Amino acid sequence: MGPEIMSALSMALSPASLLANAFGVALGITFGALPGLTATMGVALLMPLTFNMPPVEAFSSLLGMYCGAIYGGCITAILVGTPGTVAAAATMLEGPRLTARGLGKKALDMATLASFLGGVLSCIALMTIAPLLARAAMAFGPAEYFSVAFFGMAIVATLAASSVLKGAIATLLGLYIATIGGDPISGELRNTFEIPALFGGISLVPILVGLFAVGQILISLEEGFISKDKPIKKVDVSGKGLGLREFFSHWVTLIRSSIIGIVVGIVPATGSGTASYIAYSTAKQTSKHPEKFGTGILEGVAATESANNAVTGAALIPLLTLGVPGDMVTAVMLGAMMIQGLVPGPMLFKDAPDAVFGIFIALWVANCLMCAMGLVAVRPLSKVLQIPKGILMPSVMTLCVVGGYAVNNSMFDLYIVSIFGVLGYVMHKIDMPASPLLLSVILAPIAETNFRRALVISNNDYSVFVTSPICVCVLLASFLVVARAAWMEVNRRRREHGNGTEPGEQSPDGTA
Amino acid sequence: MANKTDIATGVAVLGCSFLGAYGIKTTGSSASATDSLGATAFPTAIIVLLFICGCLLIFQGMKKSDVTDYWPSRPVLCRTLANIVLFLLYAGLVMVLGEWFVQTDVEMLQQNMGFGIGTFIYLMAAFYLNGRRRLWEMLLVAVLVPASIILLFNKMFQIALP
Repeated sequence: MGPEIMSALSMALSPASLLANAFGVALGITFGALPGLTATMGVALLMPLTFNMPPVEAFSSLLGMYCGAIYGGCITAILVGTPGTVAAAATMLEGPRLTARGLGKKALDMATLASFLGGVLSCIALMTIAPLLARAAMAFGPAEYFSVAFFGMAIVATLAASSVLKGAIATLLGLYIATIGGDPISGELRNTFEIPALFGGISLVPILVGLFAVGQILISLEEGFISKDKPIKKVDVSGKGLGLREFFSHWVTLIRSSIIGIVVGIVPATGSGTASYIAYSTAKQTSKHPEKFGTGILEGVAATESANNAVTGAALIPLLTLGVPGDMVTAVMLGAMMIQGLVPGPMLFKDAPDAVFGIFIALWVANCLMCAMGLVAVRPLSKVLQIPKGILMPSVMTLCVVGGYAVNNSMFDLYIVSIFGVLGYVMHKIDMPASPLLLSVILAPIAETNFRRALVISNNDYSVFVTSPICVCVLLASFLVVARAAWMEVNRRRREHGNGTEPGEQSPDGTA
Repeated sequence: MANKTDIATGVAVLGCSFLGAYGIKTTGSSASATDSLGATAFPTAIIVLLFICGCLLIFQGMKKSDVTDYWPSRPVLCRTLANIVLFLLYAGLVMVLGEWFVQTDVEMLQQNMGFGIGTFIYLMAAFYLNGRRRLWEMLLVAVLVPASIILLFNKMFQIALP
């Protein structure tokens, strides 16, 4: 392993990679801080710039963007009470109250250092767990791969949606879209509607640029109309900063929340938003003074921010070892890996160890740069926040056209970007999440190919899916996840009907 | 009160499942002794499930349920639709202008001129539509954005632009 690590170090610490990383982090913090621009959108739009870069350099900028954007969301959450990203939504429970008490700088410092700690611990988890899991995954057969892909789809369909039915519909739509083009086993063309441009299937990048960038921009523009596009008020970041002693006084919360973030990150198809809420409620439950939560407490910021940044490294574990993304951003990175000629999975550790170790080191560098920039960049960022949406969003929209076109240099992909952009907007309006659609587009080939391969190997014996212990456990977990979500939804509806609650109406006991 | 959004979504899902079924119909099955499922089994299963989910959503929408109106008021929706149309026109304009400039003999015009002009026009229109009225601000950004994209993507990183 020695030469590979040295080679990875030289690649990840080269001036070009460091510059790419710093560029990604700076852009990421800006994207994360600006409401309406998300980490997924940022990585998707940065991806075309990396096409001609060597893999480690490309991933330095993408990982920089990822870490920066997840962290950047807390800036607006703390200072103006608007989360820049979903990951920072839980931070909003404490941040604005701290700012109102003149402790905004302290809260931001806590968020920066907690994000750094969470990010570093997730790097350690990535470097220790990923090689072990990759070794274990070498024993995986097609049946096991199918069950993992199925688990990923089950999780995202139930967790991402407020309604299991809508999550299932989004998943099924994604599965169907993924079947357009050549059959993965026989190579036969299917579902192409005899349109030549569909013979090669629909590329992933135009779908994600459409769904997560164009769709999101349309939503942001609409919100701009409703709020009359008032720029974010000037933010006050003066005041006393956080001392190291004060930071380390919350070490139990920081470590526990980071572990929560790592565990949530490893589970395929979950994300930093989920991690930060779980960490926040755990911190509240185990705190000596839970009554102070919600009134502006640094411990709450420490919990949410360490957890959401701990997801970044952990989400790469299933991606690198199994080829199953841990969250939406890593789903975009899967596309970037394929463009770079890297096939994620256990063989990646054998075929391209220098690239894998390069990615590990790039993540360390990204976290260090994020911490350094976070501690000094808040003042200049507060000026960027003044840009009105009416100027910002159309400008970002032009990048969507570039991003959609650049993968295949195909005008047809621009149609795909437009179609999925409108679909992303409509899905938001009908309360149907877009993440199950994207994730199932990615997981469908893994699921279908391995399902059919398992049957071919076992001479069409379906019991192959219930004879392997790994397969049984994972499939059982998938069914339990779906059954639990369905049960909770049925109960919720029953309660609402029992109360006779109409939308916007108050129930008799006063709860909405 | 019926949830019209859910009913309309359910109908759209049914439409998608019929469209999908048509797509499968145009595909020949390649099931064999070894691969008993063939190319159409997986999409067929998806379409059947999609059809069932569409019916369930319509049924759910028809029952008395929690109606949450996610749609904005008509003027806001009209402006959003205008934004969508503008984006579609932009994608089309970039393609048309790109092809038109490629056909000219002037080499300078062949490189990114379609993208540059298309983006400028789109940005000016989008800024106006989204309530910006300061002409100098609009002109400055509409010139700077395509120029920096061309410089960064095309000149520095050699990435082809539409």
